[in-house]
Amino acid sequence: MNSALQPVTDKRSQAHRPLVWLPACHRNLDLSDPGGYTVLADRYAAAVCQLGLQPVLFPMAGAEAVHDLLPLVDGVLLTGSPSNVEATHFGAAALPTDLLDPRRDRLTMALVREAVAVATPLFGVCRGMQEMNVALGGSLYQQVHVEAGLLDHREPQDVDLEAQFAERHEVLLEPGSAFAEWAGGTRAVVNSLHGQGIKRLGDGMVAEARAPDGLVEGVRVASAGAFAYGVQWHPEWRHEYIPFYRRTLDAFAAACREHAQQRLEAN
Amino acid sequence: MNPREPACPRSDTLSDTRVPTVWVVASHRELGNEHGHPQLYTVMDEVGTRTLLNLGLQPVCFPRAPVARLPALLDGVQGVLLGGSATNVNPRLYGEEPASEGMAFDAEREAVSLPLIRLCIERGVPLIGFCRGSHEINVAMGGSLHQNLKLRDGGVEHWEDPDESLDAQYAERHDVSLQPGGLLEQITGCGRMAVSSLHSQGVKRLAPGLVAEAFADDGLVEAFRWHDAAQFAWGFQFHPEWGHQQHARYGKIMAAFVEACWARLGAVPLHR
Repeated sequence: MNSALQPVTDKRSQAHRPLVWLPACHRNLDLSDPGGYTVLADRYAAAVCQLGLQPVLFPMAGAEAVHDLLPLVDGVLLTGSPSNVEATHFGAAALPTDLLDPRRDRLTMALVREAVAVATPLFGVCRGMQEMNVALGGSLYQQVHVEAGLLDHREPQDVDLEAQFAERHEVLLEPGSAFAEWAGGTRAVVNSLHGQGIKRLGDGMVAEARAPDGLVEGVRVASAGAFAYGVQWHPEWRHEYIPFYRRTLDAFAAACREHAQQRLEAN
Repeated sequence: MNPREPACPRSDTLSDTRVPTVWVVASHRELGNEHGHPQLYTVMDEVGTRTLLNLGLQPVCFPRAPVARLPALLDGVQGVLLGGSATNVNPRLYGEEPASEGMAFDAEREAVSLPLIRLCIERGVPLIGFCRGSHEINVAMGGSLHQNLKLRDGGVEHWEDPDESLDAQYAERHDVSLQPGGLLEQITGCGRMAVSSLHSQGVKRLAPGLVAEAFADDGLVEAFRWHDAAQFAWGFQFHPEWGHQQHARYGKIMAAFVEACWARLGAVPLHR
């Protein structure tokens, strides 16, 4: 009754790629085209392809779909976005200036918890890391730059994209952590384009990278049965040229491949 | 090019879905980020997606699917949907130069859609296209398009008024006559119906293997299908996905696609 069509491909010799679910964002395109759109910044899909993985997007999937869809993929990549995690998810009120994406929040809150519970590789970038933290019970600074003792982690306004994504500050990496392994030492320099930041860590999360002001910038979900890391910076930006970024993404890709192998053996 | 190509087992099919999965082919647009810097985005309009969800199908999209992997990815889905878009099919794909400067194209979409259409027909995967999507089906199979119907002066206004609301743009704008004795007449149970119309390109020469099923009063092909009816492959110049709950004929068209997807899955819909 519920059996799926069996693959009929005659191209078995070609390499196959693990699937990575990238939750999309939702926005209008412009004033002349006011319809709602599901969008994904192409650089994340491009990076996933370069890792030898296949991006997959389930448009408009809600929390209720996670249970059915997550078993179909080998990893979850939570991307960055201009929108902020709505503060109601950690017991605060959204700011009037917040750009929000409540539909993405609803999906990712459930997706993070399920991925951790069933050991699907999980990697969060910027908003994605913040979603991991909030989904697991943590909280965020809604404006890092107004907190006493914390730096302004936002990108400069009036420069081009290259300059906005330039390396901006150091991060201190926990000795012996995977971050230190990827960086080849306990210090690295990263880009910084965010207004929100981790305040209280979520359950089972460990801070393994910190900015010079102490802000948590890299996390591991110790309670997860598979690769589950988040970073506040953007390793998908110029990862071809920056070994620290590349090794970080490679580690995620390796975890996805391992998951694909397990999924194959289970079928 | 990629030194990190993995040697890994087949896993890029969605092999465990319990409802038919439909690949919605995405469009690509440069959108401003919060600082106005344009960046390339994969974009999917929500109307097509919502229609699939409301009909009990699972929409999926594979951004940047490489051509070599289209067959394997197609094996994991039970239908393909090609929606409309503000961009035009590049006339070079049917052997013409662009008639005007500044036409908006989407080469990334065509890199996926054209080979995918041919694969669907080769392998019997249900395929449905609306507006630009129908143009792609016609061009993929060797047909050509009118680049600008406004210059054709056929007496029917096929294009929307940009100052209208979206709902007004998608309202029925003109009638079409269905091919007497044709399949669309059977599906919809009528010989003439009012349809939405938001396009300035349209089918000029219908590709070999395609059969016209509906015409506007100026003779423009408004619906066509693959000649072998055992293969569900239809192109509609109008938008049956927009308002399928209000427009009974649209509902029947969408229901026919849903049925074809379930048949491809080898199961019957649970609500039957």
